[in-house]
This record gives sequence, structure tokens and C-alpha cells, in this order.
Amino acid sequence: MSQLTRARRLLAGALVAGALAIPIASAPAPACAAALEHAALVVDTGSAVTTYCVALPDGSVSGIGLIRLAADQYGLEYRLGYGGAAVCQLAGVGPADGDCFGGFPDYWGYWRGDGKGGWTWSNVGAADTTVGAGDVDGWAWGSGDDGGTHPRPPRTSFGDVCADSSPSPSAVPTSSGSGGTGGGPPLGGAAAPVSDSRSPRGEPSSKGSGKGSGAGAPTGSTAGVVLRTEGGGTAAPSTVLAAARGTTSGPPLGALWSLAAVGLLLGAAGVQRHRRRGDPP
Amino acid sequence: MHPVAWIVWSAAAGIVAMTTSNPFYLVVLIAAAAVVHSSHRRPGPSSRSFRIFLLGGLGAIVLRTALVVFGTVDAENAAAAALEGSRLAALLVVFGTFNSVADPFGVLRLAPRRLHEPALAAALALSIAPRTIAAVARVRQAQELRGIRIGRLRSLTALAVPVLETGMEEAMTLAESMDSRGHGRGRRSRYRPERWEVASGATAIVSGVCTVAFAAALLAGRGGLAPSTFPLRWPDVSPLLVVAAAGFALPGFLPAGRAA
Repeated sequence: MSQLTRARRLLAGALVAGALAIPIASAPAPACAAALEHAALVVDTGSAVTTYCVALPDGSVSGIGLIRLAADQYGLEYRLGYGGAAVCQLAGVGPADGDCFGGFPDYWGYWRGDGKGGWTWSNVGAADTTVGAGDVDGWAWGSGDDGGTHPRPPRTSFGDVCADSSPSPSAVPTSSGSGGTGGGPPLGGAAAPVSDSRSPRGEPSSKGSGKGSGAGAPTGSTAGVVLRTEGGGTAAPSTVLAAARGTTSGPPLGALWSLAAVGLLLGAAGVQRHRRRGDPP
Repeated sequence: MHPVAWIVWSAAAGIVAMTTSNPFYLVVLIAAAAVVHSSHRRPGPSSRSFRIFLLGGLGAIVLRTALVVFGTVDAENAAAAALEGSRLAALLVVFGTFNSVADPFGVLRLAPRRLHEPALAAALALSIAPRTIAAVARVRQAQELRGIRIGRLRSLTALAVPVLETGMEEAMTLAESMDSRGHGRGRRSRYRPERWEVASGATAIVSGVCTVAFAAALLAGRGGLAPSTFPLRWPDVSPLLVVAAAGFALPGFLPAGRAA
């Protein structure tokens, strides 16, 4: 073997090793998973269920805080009302004007995971609850005054959402418990790079970053977002919106109209005053 | 301008201020009111109303925002409070404009006979604030001319008596003059009826149209009438609604017509 050939082989080997190392290096190590705690958030709009494995930077947070963290980390669209204490809109479903019961009789019902995949109706508002590591919070859109009549999210345990036992992605069984026909494609491809799905600002996999199809096409991360749609396609608009809303946008164009109108009107007022300056006060 | 036109204008502008807390629309509404005021203000103390209510409106914004310190202080809460304050400020400015352009006794003549006395009391009450402020200025000036200098804190008590006296005298004089002109009980004169002129009709119609635009936007849930504060986001601003808000300035560009 000539020296050139050996060098080429070494170089090729180094490149391959490097290429493999990059996803592994960027995937958080198990030690990281233990250091940064997570909680699960399940949002059931009635036509789509989205789950989020939310990192908790401070160890515990209120139910409202969990939603905000999910918005920061995964782009969940939300609107609050009543001074930020009540949930009006999640994932684009619900009133956007601060009147959380504007969609009456439907509203967002708040459920707490009971540790075994089931749900308990929360009697405490989301601003006053505490969500810690390993907890599961659920929100379901529908009508009904209490846990007996209000729809609940599908059975979900913490392990379904945040598979933190192993660092490498494994195929997540797509739960057909929801009975949907669309039931998303198996997340999987164990070979697909994980691409830091767990850390904030990571690739929000269900939002598709442009692949806004209802069936989702998440990169094979399991520790990230699992999108299971029933009856498909309805998640598309919000995913596209979330993808588009990458950075905080500035003032809308109409603001220019407003400022121009104000300038013109105040100018006219000034002219009128000038014209009437001889009038008695 | 017919008094009913001013009532329609003010009611319409007030309704628009109630439909939205979007500052980009409210500021246009306030500017439109400023145009109307500077063009149609009637001579006399009531023209001060605009400035009084404008300052009151700014104070409302500041005060409402300051109340945030009693709860969690963050940008979202402060923004929500400021938006509520600006809605109130717009309402106050509309009212102040009405006060400065409408002849209260022209409005009074429209009242049905049964409501004449309460309406009279209301008309007098509307004019009391600017008249009192003018009285304070006059009394201070008179005292200074007489060489009476009173420190700031004590000036309140020193002013109170003369101002109240002046107020009583003015009220009596006003009542007597109105009585002699036929505003008294049951003796309402129809000598100079108000006429509907083109300017009045145009004002009323345009105000109505602009209000309908905002009402339609409210019902359709579009136009960014309720900016999102949790989370804090820039609101939608529809150029159409900006034009509708600016439409309230129309009377400012129309001739006043016969002084009513």
C-alpha cells in the first residue's frame, strides 16, 4: 500500500468518524438528561394531539409556566387571559382576544397525569399548580363542567413523551389508542441523527420546520415532539405558522398607516389652530 | 353644526374606543378628536375641556400602568395595563371634545319636556369644571394685583372661598338669564330652532359608517382589535380600520356653519 493510499484511507476514516461523531456529540449525553429535568405536556385540540417533552430549567414550574416553556422550546402557539392566569388558546385553537370563554361551551380543560398514564381533573387553576420533573400535564379542548363530562387527552405517561432512559433514539410505537386513521408514521429510523432534540431551541420536530404536513415528518427523535394526528392534516396550518414565526417580528405594516394618519391629523389640527388664533380664548 | 350631530359623533367615537384597545387605532382616534376640537371649539371656558380631559387621559394611562406594582411586574402585565389605560384615555378625550364643541344648551333644547330639569342640571354640571378652573385663574390674578401673595400650600384655602362664591354667583346669573330666555319650567322657546345642514348630516353619517366598520371587525374577530399581551405580540393593524378611525376627523374639515 502506497503512502498516498494509506493517507487517503486515514483521511476517509477520519472523515467518517467525524461525521458520526457530530450527531453523537450534539446529542445530549445521559448525564445531561439527568441534569436537566423534564416534564411532559399533552395538548389535545380534539382533532390533533401533540405532546411536548419540556425541559425545566428551574426544576419546577406552574402549569402556565410549562406552556410558556413549551412555546419557547417548541413554538407552541398560545394565548392567555385574565392577567395571564387562564389559558384561552393552545396550538391555535380557542379565542385569541383574552376572553377565555369566548368559545363557550368549549374551553380548555386542565388535567394532571396520575403517574400511570391516566388523568385527574385539576381543581386548581394552572397558575397555581406545580409541575416538577416527571410530571405530565394535559389540556383538552371541549365542553363539560368537570372531570366527569369534559373530554380528556388520550392516555399518556411520562415515558411515552420523554424517553430518557436511553440516549439513542428508538422507534416509538404510534399509539392507535386514539383510533385515528391518519396515525402518524412511525418515528423511527434509529439511524437518523438525533440532532439535539431535547435542548431548547432544538429542531422542533413536529413543527416540521417547513415540512408542515399533517402527518408530520419528524426527524427520528423520540425525546422530542411526538405528533399523532387523527383524521390528519388539521395540524398543518399551525405547524406552518409556527415554522414561519421563527424570530420575533417587528411592528406590522399597518402601524405605518397609523403613524402617517396621526401625523396628517395633527398637522391639520395645527393649521386650524393657526387659522383661529385671532379668536377670543 | 346641529347638536345631534355632535351627539352622534361622540357616541360613535365612544363606541369605537370601547371595541378596541389597539393603540394604533386609538391614537388615530385621539388625533381625529384633536382636529375636531381645534376646528370647532366654541369660545369660552368650555374649550378648555379638551386639554383637561387629554391630561386626564394621560394620567389614566400612567396611573393604570403604575397599579401593576401591586401584582407581578413584568412586561406583559404592564402592557396589558397600559392598553386598558389608553382605551380609557380615548374615551376621555372624546368626551372632552364633545364638551368643547357642543353647545350644552343646544343639547338641552333637545331634551323632552319631562326630562328638562335633569337635563338642565346635567348641562350646568358639564360646564362647571372648566368654569371653575377659569374662576381659579381669575381669582389668583385678582389677588396678585392686590399684592396678596400666598404660599403654594396655603393658597388652596385662600382660593376656596372666592372661587366658591364666584361659582355660586355665576350659577345664579346663568339660571336667571336662561329663565328669561325661556329655558324655565315648561316655557321652552322654539324661536331659533336648529337646522340640519349638510355638515351635520355628513358628520352623522360618516361617524356611523366608521363605527359599523369597527363593529364588523369585532364580530369577525379580525383587525387586531384586541392585541395579545399574554404572550406579548405586535397586533395586527388593518389600514382600513386606520382610515375608519381617521374618518372621525371629517367634521374638522367641514365649515362650522351658523354658530349655534
